[in-house]
Order: sequence, then structure tokens, then C-alpha cells
Amino acid sequence: MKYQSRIAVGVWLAALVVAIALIARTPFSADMSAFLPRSAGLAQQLLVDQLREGVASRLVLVAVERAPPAALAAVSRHIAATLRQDGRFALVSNGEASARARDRDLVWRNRYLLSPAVTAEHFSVAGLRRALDDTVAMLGSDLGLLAKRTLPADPTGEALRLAQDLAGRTQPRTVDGAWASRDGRSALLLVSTRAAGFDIDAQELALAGIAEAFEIARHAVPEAAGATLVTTGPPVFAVQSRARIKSDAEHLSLLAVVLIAGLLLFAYRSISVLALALLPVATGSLAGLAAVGATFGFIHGITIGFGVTLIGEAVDYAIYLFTRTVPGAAPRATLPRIWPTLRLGMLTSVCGFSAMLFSQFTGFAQLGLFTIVGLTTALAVTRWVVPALISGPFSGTGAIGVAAPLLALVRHRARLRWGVLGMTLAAGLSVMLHGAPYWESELSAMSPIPPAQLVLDARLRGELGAPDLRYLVVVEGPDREAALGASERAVAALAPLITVGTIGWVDAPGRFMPSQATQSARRAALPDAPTLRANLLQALAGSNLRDDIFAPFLADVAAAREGALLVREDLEGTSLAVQVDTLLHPRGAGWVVMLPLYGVADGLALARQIDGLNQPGLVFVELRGEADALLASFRNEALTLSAVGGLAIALLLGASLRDGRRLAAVTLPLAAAVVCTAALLLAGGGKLSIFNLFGLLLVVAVGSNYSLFFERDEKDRARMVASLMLADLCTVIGFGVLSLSGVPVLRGIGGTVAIGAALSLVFAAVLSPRRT
Amino acid sequence: MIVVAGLLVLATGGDPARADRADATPAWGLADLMAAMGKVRASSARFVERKYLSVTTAPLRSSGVLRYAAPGRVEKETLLPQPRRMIIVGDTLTMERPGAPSRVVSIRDIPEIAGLIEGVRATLAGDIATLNQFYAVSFTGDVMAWQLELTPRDSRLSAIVAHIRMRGQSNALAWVETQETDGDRTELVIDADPP
Repeated sequence: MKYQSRIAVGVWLAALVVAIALIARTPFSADMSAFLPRSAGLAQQLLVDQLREGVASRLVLVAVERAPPAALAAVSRHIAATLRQDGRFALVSNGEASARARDRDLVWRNRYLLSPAVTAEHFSVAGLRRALDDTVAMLGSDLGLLAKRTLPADPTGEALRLAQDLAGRTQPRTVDGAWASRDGRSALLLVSTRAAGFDIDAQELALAGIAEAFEIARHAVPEAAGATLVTTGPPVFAVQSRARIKSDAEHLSLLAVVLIAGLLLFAYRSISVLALALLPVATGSLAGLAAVGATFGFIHGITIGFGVTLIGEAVDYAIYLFTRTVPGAAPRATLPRIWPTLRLGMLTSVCGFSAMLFSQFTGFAQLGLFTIVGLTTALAVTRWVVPALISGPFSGTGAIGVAAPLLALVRHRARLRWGVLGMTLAAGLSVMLHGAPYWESELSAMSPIPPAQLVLDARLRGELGAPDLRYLVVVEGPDREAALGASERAVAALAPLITVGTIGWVDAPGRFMPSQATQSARRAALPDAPTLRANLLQALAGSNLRDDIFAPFLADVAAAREGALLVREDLEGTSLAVQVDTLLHPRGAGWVVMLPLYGVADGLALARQIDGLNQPGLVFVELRGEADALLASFRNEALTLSAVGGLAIALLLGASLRDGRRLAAVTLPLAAAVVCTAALLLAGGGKLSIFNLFGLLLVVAVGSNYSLFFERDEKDRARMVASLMLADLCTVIGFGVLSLSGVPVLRGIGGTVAIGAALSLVFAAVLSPRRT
Repeated sequence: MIVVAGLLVLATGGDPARADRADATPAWGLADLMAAMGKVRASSARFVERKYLSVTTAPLRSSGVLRYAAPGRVEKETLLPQPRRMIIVGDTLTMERPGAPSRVVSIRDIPEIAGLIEGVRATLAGDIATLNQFYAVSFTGDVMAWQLELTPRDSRLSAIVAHIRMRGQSNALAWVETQETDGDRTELVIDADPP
């Protein structure tokens, strides 16, 4: 090994060690907020919060089916009992009244702090009389049985009022004490995991816990041996999606690697050459990850997945080197011929991706940095390390034969080029005249969740009355109490909208955790014992009620006057704690309260009326709208970055070629390939998504090498064309296989790149300049 | 009016119906009552209800219209003293009051009330199976004047309800008395004439 080679290999090995050390120290993250714009408003931050860790992101909807109704209910009770003992679950609801005993007890003990009806007026003679009239009416009704029991301690009916809130607004029907579907064929449970939605590993464990609890229950209930378990909800979606993407990516990547390795083995007839061909891309990936880790402090999962795809071009570098090397010669001798073109090709790609560095989305910026460092490193390895590792003459034969069809295209290019130009023109027109909106705006269309699962989800959601969380009002405060206070003012401000029917009801943490100020005011409104006794006796005069049974009431009010205020710790162990915590939590330096609005028929009217309230500090959020807006901002940003990248490429090529004609010869095939690919995708699939856009970026990166080689390289034409053909086949195979996936991300990128790369090469050949 | 007359007789403790049974057909029993009830597709009647409660100084009186539709829909519309309406379909209980949002609850969540409702509803529907599920049923009388006494089977229900007694003639329910264990009592008188 020459001195220079030793240095190259030494530097490479040292760099590998550094890169691996850096990567090992960097945390990996699947956190969605990396794909949140840095300048995101509160609404978008909340949307991402909701997706990551909101109450909806933790909710698993469970159905047990295929057993007699009584057995289903028994299984439901068994599952609930198991899960309630399990620390992975914050809340398990299945309609069992006994499970709510602790909640009811807490509400009963704190009824005078919790009831919004408690004011000084409420305990005046007139107020008491009104409340007693209501209570007598209740006694006379068919629910009198219930009212009678609490009458001596709670004649004003505070607990009954609060019990209505406690039960929630919509409840499924109950069979044998457990929730059941309307047709009675499923038992239903609602399970909330303690782990946040983004923690997919924990969600996977929690789902396994549910399945295990079901198995135990199924065997414990004699008639339920044949019962089946169905689960849905965001945790299920997240776990399934990850599993599907992982399984598809693994299987298809394996298939692609086998096919590509087979092709390269056929071309070079040498395993060591095959290994060397993969060295640049492997080193590039490690370097890219290390750079991202060092710069950002974390590496996003998406950066790894997409990034390795985006530097797929680096596989081509080694192919160019090996195929262009004449058998028996050293690859080092080939380098001077192809190096300038390779370098320009790499710089073109780097220019294209560099715009991503300036993205508002950390995720895009990571991808940009990864690609730039990865490609630069891969080319450096191709230039200095790979030749150094090949001792003696190169033994690969190269598959010159593969060049034949492409060479035929080149020979007939004079006739074909008008066909290509005509086709491109037609494709361009069809894209421009494409009537329907051609960007995919529905998140669901990009989701890897099968439609049958979505139908199941909608059915269980309907049965369980678990409404889609769509409309929110959000208020903030510098601390917990201030935020709670602001939320109480917001609820009061929203009351008129409930009266006119725009909103069915507003959920609020204050239902079970009023601010200390509100609680103090309620406590202060309670009259002292002599006053209350006097007022009560006066109010009872002329009523149907006996006046000697209310000692418990007088005692409870007296105790409440002296008692402590309710604090968050008091809720521990009740389902109310979960309900409060999901609506009230710290954010940044302050606290934020979310007030979900339910029973909204007309979102536009709601937005208008909330605007009309003129309440500063009260932020209205329509989550679906925000999700669409976020998606649109992704897309717009990706489009802008692509356009800037394209401009940078044009400037770079213009500066290095210094000739309008040559510039046209290089860029025309690229532009034609991009336009035709877009037209084909639109004609075939209807709409384009952000994944297709990434695919097109990659087409430009790969395709620019093809047209540069055709434009600049005149010597050794057959080998040059063969090397392009081989590189192109690898790309088409690798991405073509991905397009077989059922997962939209993989299918989108795979299909786009396979079509685009094939077209790029054909167009580069047909539109290549005439040589004399 | 026959029913009212019958009720008066029954209330005084006499049993003229037994004497009226002149023909020699086999005794009319619980099965016949349930079969007759099961044939009724729909009915409606005025009612007067009195609740005798220890916490009140005088009985609470209410009145209104009771409607039944086979197989399991019962509607009790109270007109006095305050209008309110209770509808039971399946195991869903809906309560409506003017000026207040209607409340919907599952009667299984309130087992005490579920038992009371099923006692009356299963009798109206002629559903002996459901009736037997909640109560031990004893039948006396005949087609002209029958009486059912329901004793709760479930311990939660029997802690509150001592028994329910019902009287009627043929397929018409005329009187329901609910005796609670604490001494409180509810009496429902149904006037079979359509309102």
C-alpha cells in the first residue's frame, strides 16, 4: 500500500471510530415536534402536543365479541379488574358502578367546594326555599328513592347536580353492569394508558397487557372460551403502523439488497468488489448521522429512515468507478477521467439538498445536513479509500453488455428527441390542466392504517360515545392557579354559547379541581351554623318536609366552613385525577388549560361566535383545521425548498459549464423526467403527496449524474453508458421494490424514484448532445 | 268504571270475583295473566300517585298519563304538580323537564330503580322470565280481580324494597303499591279509561 493510501485508510478508520462514538452518545427520538415549525403558534404546538401525549393519544377502545351477553360482561369485568391493578393504565372504564365509588365519595365529601351553585344567595331563605322545592319535586319523582337517601345531609341537591357531571354526557348502554354495544354483541371498555402516545414501545407493552388480561378473563369465564378481542384507538394505530412500516421496510429492503447484490455480482463476479461498492454509502450514512447528532443533539427516527434513502445515490459512485475501470487496470487510473464529473454531480445534489438546512422544521434541517455530509463523505471514500483498498489490478469484468439498449437509444436520438420533447410538453400540459387539486390534503390518505381498521374505530367510538376531540378553547397562565382562574373565566364567557345551542357542553378541569380562589369564595359563602339553621327553618315553613331531619346537613356545612380546600393530591387514586391532568398541564414556563367543546354542529358559527365574545387570551383551536394547516405548511415549505434547491443547482451548473447550450443539455433531461414523472403519478394515483415530492428531489440528485456524464464524457463511451445503466438498474430495483409496499410513505417514494430514475436515464441518452 | 268498582271492593278486603266464577273452566292463573298482558300492543291511562314518606309531613301527590307500547316502552308523563316526563326504552331511562336538558341514564346504573321499573314493565309486557329474574312472584285471584305480590330476589333491591303489590282485572293493571323497607310507601292508581 502506498504511503498516500495508508493515510487515506487511516483517516477513514479514525473518522469511522469518531462517527460511531458520536452516534453512540446521541439519543434517538421519534418525537413529532421535530416536524413542528420553529415559529409554530400555540394552536399548532397544542396540536402536536395532543398527537404526542394528549388524552386522545392514550385512549384504547376495547371490544370483546363472540360470546353470550352475560359472558361478555363477565369478561369485561375480569379485564377491568386486571387492568386496574396494572400500573401501565391510568383509567379503565367499563360501566361498572363500583369502579366509580371513589370518585363519588370524593365528590360527596367536597360538594360545597365543587358545586357551582354555592353562593351566599344559595343559602339565604329564598335560595334554600328554591332548592328545597326542587328537592321535593325530585322526591316525588321516580328517582325519589335516590334523593330520599341524601336528603338529610344534602337537601339542596349539590351531590346530585355534581353526579350528573361525573357520569359524563354520553354513556354506552349497560348489560349486566358492563358497557355493551347497541346490538348487545360486544362488551366495551375504554382504557387510558399512563404512557404518552409518542412512546410507542410503552404503548406496545400496554396493548400486550390488555391482550394478556383478555386471555386470562376468557379462560376464567366458562362461556367465553370462543370470545375474541378487538382493540382500536391511537395507541393501536401507532403500534400497528410502526410494525407495518418496519416489516415492509425490512422485507422489501432485503429483497432489494438481494436483487441489487445479485446484479452487481453478475456485473463484477467478485464478492470483495461488491463489499467495496457498498463502502461509500455505509460510511456516508455513519458520517451523516454523526454530523446530525453533533449539530442537533438528537437524531430523529425519520432522519435515519429517509436519509439513508436520500443518499442512495452514493451506491452509484462505486459503480461508476468500477464499471469504468478496464479489466486488469487499477481503479486509481480511472479516477482522473470520471472525477470532475462525479464531483460536479455530487455538488449538484448537495446544492439541491442544501436548501433544506434552512427549513423551519428541525426534521427537514436534519435530513438536509445528513444528505450533504453523507454524499460528501461517500464521494471522498470513493475517491481516496476504495482505490486504496484494492491491491493490484482490478479483477471485475464489468457488464458492458447492459449498455446495448441505451447505446441504441443514443444512436437513434435524432429521431427520438422530438418524441421526448413532445411527450414532456404533453405531460407539462396535463399537470397544468389537472383539474382537481393535485396535492394530497387529507392526512388519512397518507396514513398507513388500513381502511377496515378506521371503520372499526369509527364504530367503537360511536358506541362508546368517545367524541372526536376537534374543538378546543385554550387559555394560559403563568402558574397553575392563574391558568385555572383563566379557565373559569373562559367557561363563564362561553356559557351564552351553550344557551343558544352552539356548544353542547364544555369540559373543564374546574369541574373537579376549581381554582383555590373559587373554592375559597364558595367556602366563604357558607353561612355560620346559627344563620343556616335559622334560614333553613324559615325556608322549611310551609313546605312538605319535616324540619327535624337536617342535622347532618348543618354538620356538613359547618365542617366545610372549617375544612381545607381541595388540592390536586386529594384526587390521587380517582379517575378525576386523570381527567384534570389531561386538561391542565405545564407548558414552557407557564401552565395551559384546554377546554374541549362538545356537541358542536356548526364549526364556522362557533368560530364566529367565539370571536364575537372578544375575550383576549382565549384561543380557539380547531384541531383538524390545524392539522391540515400543518400539513399544508410542510408541503409549501417542501415546495419552496425544492424550488430554491433547483435554482441553486441551475446556478452551480451554469457557473461550472459556462455555456448556455451545455447547461440546457444537462438540465433539459432532468426537467423532462421530473415533469413526466409528476404527470404519470397524477394520472395513476390522483394526487401527489409530500412523499412524492421527496422522491422527485431524489430523481434530480440521481439524474443529474446521468446527464452530466452524457454531456461531458466522450471517451470510453460504452463503459460510461454501461456504468450509468448499472447504477440506474440498482436505483430502479431498489425503489421499485419499495413501491410494492402497502405503506403510503414507502410506496410514494419508491414509485416516484423508480419511474423518475428510469426516465432520467432514457431522456439523458436521447437528449445527449450530438458529437462530431 | 268496572275496574274502579273492583278496586273499591278489593280495597275493602272482599273477594266477589271468586264467587262470580260460575263456569267450570280451569282456574285462571299467572300464566293466563301473562299471556293476556302479552297480547296488549299499546295502552294509555291516567294515573294518580301518592308517596307516603317519613321525611314529609303529608303525602306527595302527582298525576298524569301512563303509556305503554309493546314490547318494552313505558312512558310516564307527570302533569301535576310539575310537568316532567320519564321514558324507558330497553334499559335507557330518559328524563325530561321543561327548561332543562334531558337526562339519559342506563337503568342498570341505578339497580334499585331498575328493579322497580322491571317489576311494572315486565308485568305490562307479560314477560314472566324477566319478572322471575328480579322477583319471587305470587299470584292470587282470577281474571276479574287478580293480585300479584313481587318479593325482590336481589339483595341490593331487597335492602330497599320490601315488596311490590299489583292488582288488576284481566289485562288491565289498576293499582301498584311499592313498600320500602324503611316504611315509606308509594301507591299508584291507574284509571284504565283512555285519557
